[in-house]
Amino acid sequence: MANDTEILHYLWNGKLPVCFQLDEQEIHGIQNPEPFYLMVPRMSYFPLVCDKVKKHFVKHVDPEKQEMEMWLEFKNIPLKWNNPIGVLYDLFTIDDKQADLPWQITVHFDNFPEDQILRCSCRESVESNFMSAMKEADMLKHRSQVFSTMQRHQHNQLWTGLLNDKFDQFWSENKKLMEPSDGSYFKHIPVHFYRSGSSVMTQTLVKPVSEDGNHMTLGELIKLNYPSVDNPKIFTHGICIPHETPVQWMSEHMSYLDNFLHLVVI
Amino acid sequence: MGPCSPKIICGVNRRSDGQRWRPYQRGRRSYQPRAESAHKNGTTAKNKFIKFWPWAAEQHGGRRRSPSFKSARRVSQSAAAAAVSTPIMSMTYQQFVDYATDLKSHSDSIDDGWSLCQYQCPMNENYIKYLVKKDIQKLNKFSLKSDHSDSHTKNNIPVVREYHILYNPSYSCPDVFFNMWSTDGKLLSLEHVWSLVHYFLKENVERDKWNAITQEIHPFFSTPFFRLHPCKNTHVLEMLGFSSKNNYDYDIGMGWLLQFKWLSTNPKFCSIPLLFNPLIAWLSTISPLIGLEIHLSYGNKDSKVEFT
Repeated sequence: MANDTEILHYLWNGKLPVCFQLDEQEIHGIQNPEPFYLMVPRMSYFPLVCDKVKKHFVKHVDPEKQEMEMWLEFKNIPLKWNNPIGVLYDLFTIDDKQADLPWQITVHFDNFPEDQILRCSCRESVESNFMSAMKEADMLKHRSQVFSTMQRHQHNQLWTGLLNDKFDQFWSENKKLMEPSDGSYFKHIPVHFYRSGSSVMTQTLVKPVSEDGNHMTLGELIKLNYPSVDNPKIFTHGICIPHETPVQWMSEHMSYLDNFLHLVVI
Repeated sequence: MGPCSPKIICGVNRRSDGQRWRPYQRGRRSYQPRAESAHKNGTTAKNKFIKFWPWAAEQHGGRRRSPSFKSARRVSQSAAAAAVSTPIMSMTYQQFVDYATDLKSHSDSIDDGWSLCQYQCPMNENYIKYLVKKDIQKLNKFSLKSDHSDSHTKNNIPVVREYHILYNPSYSCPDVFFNMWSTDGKLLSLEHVWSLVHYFLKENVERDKWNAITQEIHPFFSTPFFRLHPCKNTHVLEMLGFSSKNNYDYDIGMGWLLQFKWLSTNPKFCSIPLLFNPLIAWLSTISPLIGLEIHLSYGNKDSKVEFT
């Protein structure tokens, strides 16, 4: 059970200022569209916050292309909407000293890179993606004992909590998923690892206890999985995490809403 | 800290009616009654299929209280039991590799195109094995019947298909990823992929499609693939009577197989001898969802017993 609820509030309220601009090649007509500024929650997903962005730009593209699916790009890299916004930002900017806020993102309607990013035709695809990540996380933490015994309306609470940015609604259910089932540890810790600069995700089974029986620390975990990286720095939520942090504690307090820790290793 | 606590295994082994779930341990006595009763009730082929298909079972959950749907009721109860006692069956990676190698060797003998590939994990540089099959298929071949006449034209185009069967460490079970392109290289839409589900299961998938097949990022290549949701795979394995602990016991003699001679000769039950290799049994169960054909010879590939 998460005792340090203040941290949960801090992370929930983390926001990023983003400046959206339509790709110059796709501007139709003489008038250039104004850039669109938005504060977006780090924990959320782009398709859930971009309705207004689409509305703003769609009238400036070729009428034949207005029905096409909108997608986002940063420095020629299509952004995978299935990753939380904060993860995407950390991946591509944490190494870059020059990255200024607001985060400059290019909006496209044409040439959807279907070989690189998922299609997102409707909210259901985000919901399905999010809920199946949660389910997998619970499989790792409790062998799926908690999520599968929850009722449908409880699952809906989690989703609508994220959708409407309601901390209490989300956490009233999510706290059940964050309770270690036996003793003080999860069975495995749900973690997604990334190297900064690339959205390639790797995943392994992570145990919360190291071989000597003590709790596993972040430093030990990274050493185990990235033996060749010298003096690694680990970021999540834009914060450089001290190596002595126990991964069990991190999982309970610093997971994204899909219940996975998303760690960016430099 | 074993993979499953003894309590859970116990819960899994028992069906809702208190009988042992797995057929092979008590052989004829525990398995046959179930199959026989299906015969007696004159259950339709569709209902038999439901037994092996958890989506179908879950969909029937709503009818649980109606006594007129006896078979549906039984299925929904076992599905509910499975849901309560999850997690259930698991396969170790080593078992997966063994079964995959077995599948590959049979595939070579009938030349149907499966290959065993390796992926090097960028993190610890270990090699991970997985199965791949690529082919070109005219889509109308696997949608045997189409209720909508207008979909015929859509179904007639040839598609390029690629199937990957990986091991999923989170769920400890096999996991299928696939892509389908039209011959001009365009990826089929998710709606199109849903429309290709075998008519047998179409109704069930339609009702819960976002929990059945969706597009996801491939864990090795980080590119979009269609994926059958893996959380159901453990249920399928369970319903097929598989457990990582004692599956190797299958190979103890062929005695029990003889008991099921009538099952094996009955084309409706041709998947039963596949229990020798749970990966094949699982694959043949899910294949109507993803347009994959599993040659019948997989059914008794290991059997030294000739059925006439």
